[in-house]
Amino acid sequence: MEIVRIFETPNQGLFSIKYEKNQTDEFDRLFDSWQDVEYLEKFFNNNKNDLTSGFFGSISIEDAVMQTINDAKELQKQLLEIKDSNELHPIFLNSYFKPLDNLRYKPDDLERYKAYGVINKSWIRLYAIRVPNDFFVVTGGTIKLTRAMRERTHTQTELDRLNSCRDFLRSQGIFDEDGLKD
Amino acid sequence: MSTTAEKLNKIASIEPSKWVEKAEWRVANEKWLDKSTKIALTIIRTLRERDLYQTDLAELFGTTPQHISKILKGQENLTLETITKFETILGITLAEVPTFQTTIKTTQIIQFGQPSYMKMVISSEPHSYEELQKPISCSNSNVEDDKRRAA
Repeated sequence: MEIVRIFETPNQGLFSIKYEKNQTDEFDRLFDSWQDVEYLEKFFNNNKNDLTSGFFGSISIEDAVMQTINDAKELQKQLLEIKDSNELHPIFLNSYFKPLDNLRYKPDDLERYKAYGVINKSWIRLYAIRVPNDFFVVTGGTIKLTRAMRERTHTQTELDRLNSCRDFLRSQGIFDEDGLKD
Repeated sequence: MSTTAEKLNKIASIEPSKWVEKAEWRVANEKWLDKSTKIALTIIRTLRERDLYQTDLAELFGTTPQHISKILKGQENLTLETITKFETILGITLAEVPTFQTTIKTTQIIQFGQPSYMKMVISSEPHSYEELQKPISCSNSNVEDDKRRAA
């Protein structure tokens, strides 16, 4: 497991985990996947029942693929704007990342976070560990079509990754006492 | 005391992610990528409807399954030749050029003493390409009147 820098601006930064078996870091891999027609068509075909279960209304696989691509494209643009933002015109990463637990109202460092796509009822998710104060280390992401992450293998995998990456960052001394005082 | 940012950078790999470079490229090429995406999706859905595999398409196309897979990701800058070949093999339309239309504007020049049949018909209506290919017919209903007047 490696940590790869995506971008940094004053007082905030986006990093990603790169898993040993993969050639690219998770953040890069996700944006490739979310704009890969072949991958998306296969994904929605394999998860057709979740897609048409009712929560997302009546939606065809074609529309689901195009919606994902458009959502990823918009999120990509907005993240590039954050990269290019400065102290005069700051855009904050923490306006995208929210605590993983919807019931946790008070943001908590050393915690698991998630970011949604930008469209209404977006199903794309980025998962990250927040490192004080506003540094986010992306551990993975997915297309979430069910309510709870434990309901499907691919979302459960992301939950497991969040936990193991938090342990990894702890083992690297990122959360040590002196770091918390920053 | 080191900051958390410094700590992160200390353990991060020297080589940054390629995401920024790739994302900027995708934004700069968004318009044709969008077309490539739609073409790829139409081909994939056609294959699925007809229970065909990418290997079948590769064989019909005369290329490798890897090449087909690359195209079907929707990130390839396809040539007209490639698109037309897919259309012929699958019997579907992937890219359509709007019906060619033009507007002919002619100037009406009326000179004193000019026979009326020389006047040109002004049209601002758009014509289809097929219409323009037809022989031009002139109305010469006034020719006989001019002849009678001259006699």
